[in-house]
Amino acid sequence: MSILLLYIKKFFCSQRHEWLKFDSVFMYLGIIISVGALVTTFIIFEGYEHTLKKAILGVNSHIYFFKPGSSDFSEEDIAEIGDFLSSKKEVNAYQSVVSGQAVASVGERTRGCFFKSIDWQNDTGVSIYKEAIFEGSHELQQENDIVIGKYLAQQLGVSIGDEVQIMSVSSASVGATGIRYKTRKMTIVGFFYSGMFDYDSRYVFMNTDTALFFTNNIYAANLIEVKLQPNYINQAEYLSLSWDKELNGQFQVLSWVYFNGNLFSLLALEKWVLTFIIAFLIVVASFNVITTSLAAIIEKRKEIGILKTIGLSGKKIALIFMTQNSLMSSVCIIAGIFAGIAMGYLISYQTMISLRGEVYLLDKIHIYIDFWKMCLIFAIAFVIINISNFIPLRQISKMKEIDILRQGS
Amino acid sequence: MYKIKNISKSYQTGEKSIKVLENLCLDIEKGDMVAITGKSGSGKSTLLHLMGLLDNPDTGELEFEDKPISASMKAVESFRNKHIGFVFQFHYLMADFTAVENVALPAAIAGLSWSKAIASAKELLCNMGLSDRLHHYPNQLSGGEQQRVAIARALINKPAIIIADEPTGNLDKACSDEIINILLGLNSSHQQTLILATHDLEIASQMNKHYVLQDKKL
Repeated sequence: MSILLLYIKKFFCSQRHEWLKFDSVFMYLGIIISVGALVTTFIIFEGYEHTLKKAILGVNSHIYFFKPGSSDFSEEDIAEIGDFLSSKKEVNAYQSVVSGQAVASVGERTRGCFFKSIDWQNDTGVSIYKEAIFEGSHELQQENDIVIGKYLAQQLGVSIGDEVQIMSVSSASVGATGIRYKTRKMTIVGFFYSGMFDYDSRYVFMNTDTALFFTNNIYAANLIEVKLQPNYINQAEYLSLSWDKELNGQFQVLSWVYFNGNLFSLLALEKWVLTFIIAFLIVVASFNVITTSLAAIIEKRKEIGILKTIGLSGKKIALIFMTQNSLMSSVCIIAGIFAGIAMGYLISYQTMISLRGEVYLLDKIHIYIDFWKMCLIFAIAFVIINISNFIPLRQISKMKEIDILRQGS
Repeated sequence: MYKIKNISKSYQTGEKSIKVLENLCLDIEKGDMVAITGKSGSGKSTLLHLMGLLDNPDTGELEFEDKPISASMKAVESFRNKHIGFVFQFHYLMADFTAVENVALPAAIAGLSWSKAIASAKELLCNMGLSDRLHHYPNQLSGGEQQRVAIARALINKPAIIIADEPTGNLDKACSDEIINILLGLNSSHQQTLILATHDLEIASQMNKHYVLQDKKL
């Protein structure tokens, strides 16, 4: 056993339980609390970003095809785009969609909504429609069956089986009696909940034929949605530009980044800025490390003096202290990470405080734990704390055994 | 074997410089038992610290086996570990280490494996009559036992020179006699050179050389 290992063993197993000394406990708590605060903040921000992304990319798609100049695709257009997409390895699935603006009303209550066709019998995997059914069924067996967002249902005050009148504003026409809208009474068979307030308070899903009725049957589809393979989601912007070029600008190809990129850039910026600010807590905790280590070194100056006298170099003594502190700080950082994760879970499971969906887009606090980012936090905290260790350790090399021995016991 | 050539040492107190030793010379042969006595503050400990390479003289040099001792830090640490054993007035034992571990420590620092160092330490402590105290911590030992452990620690690397700075200063008469007998026994059995600073003239009389430090000189 080397001297270093011997001292480490003594540090943890000695009769005096040196690692559990009163002043050291405050140092450990400082590290645990600061790292915990950083981890909680980080995983909540990550959770928000991750859930928002999942909701946006779940309900919507990664790449959208529009027809420039008009809002409709012909059968030929759809076939051409279908052939094009079938040849692309990046594509996971695609579907043509009929969508438009409408007004949903029940008695006096009226809300603006966005209707969207869904091929519920053939799950293409483009949308999370089926898995997002919160209550009722995803099956639109009857022509007039619809699934509406959870919050839209709450605003309209409806339950499963209730009827709601949908009036399309996408197909308004002017006649002798004024502006005419396509209107139909629909039966609610299910509620949809994505977690994204904007979608859950606006979306209405219906059969393609019904959606075509609301758009006056003037086109086969007005949108083609493409789901990419998971590895290519972050390349959506590049792919959309590339496909746009390949199709000679015949269609407008836009990615999810085009619609939501600014939001995610802002979120990422906010997350890292806040992480940086909270990382200062660790710097503050590291001051505690300096004072506690200094106190430990002063307390042990006689031992240091005698170790130097019997031939152990100042560097090796410093290495012993450094290793002890590094081990304890590592344990505290890991404890802080677990404490932060536990606090994150507690915050996400509690029901007293919830987010206002209309403000924060999501109505619930989520957490997301990325192992490698936790490793990154560990590494940053470890570096900060161990840099602060160097300051008291320099005292060891400055200590002269003769000065210590002259002072006696 | 160990020569001190014209060493001087002074201490700075504020703007005042106090000279403690001046052009001091001493020639010590292998197996010598040297007692250094003198009044308090005469510079006995300073001389021992210089001889033990714990401090540097202002002028002069030290020679071991006719070779000057290098002043480099690493060489000094290594020389001290191999050739010099220290016994102080206070035992300075490590509180978290048992008696046997305290004794084994210098051997492990010198490069001996921990198990071999422990075996040597056990043998040494048994020879000193501490076989039933091997695994006791310093606070579980009496003053005399603590000092015997400190002597064993000084001896573990079989140093050529043992420097003892008032080793009995904190002990009663019985314990003091016991410690001196151990040191004298070691000198006769292993031919180890003993340099001892003391106030006790009775102890000094048991050594074969006796120097009095007075007016900065021996």
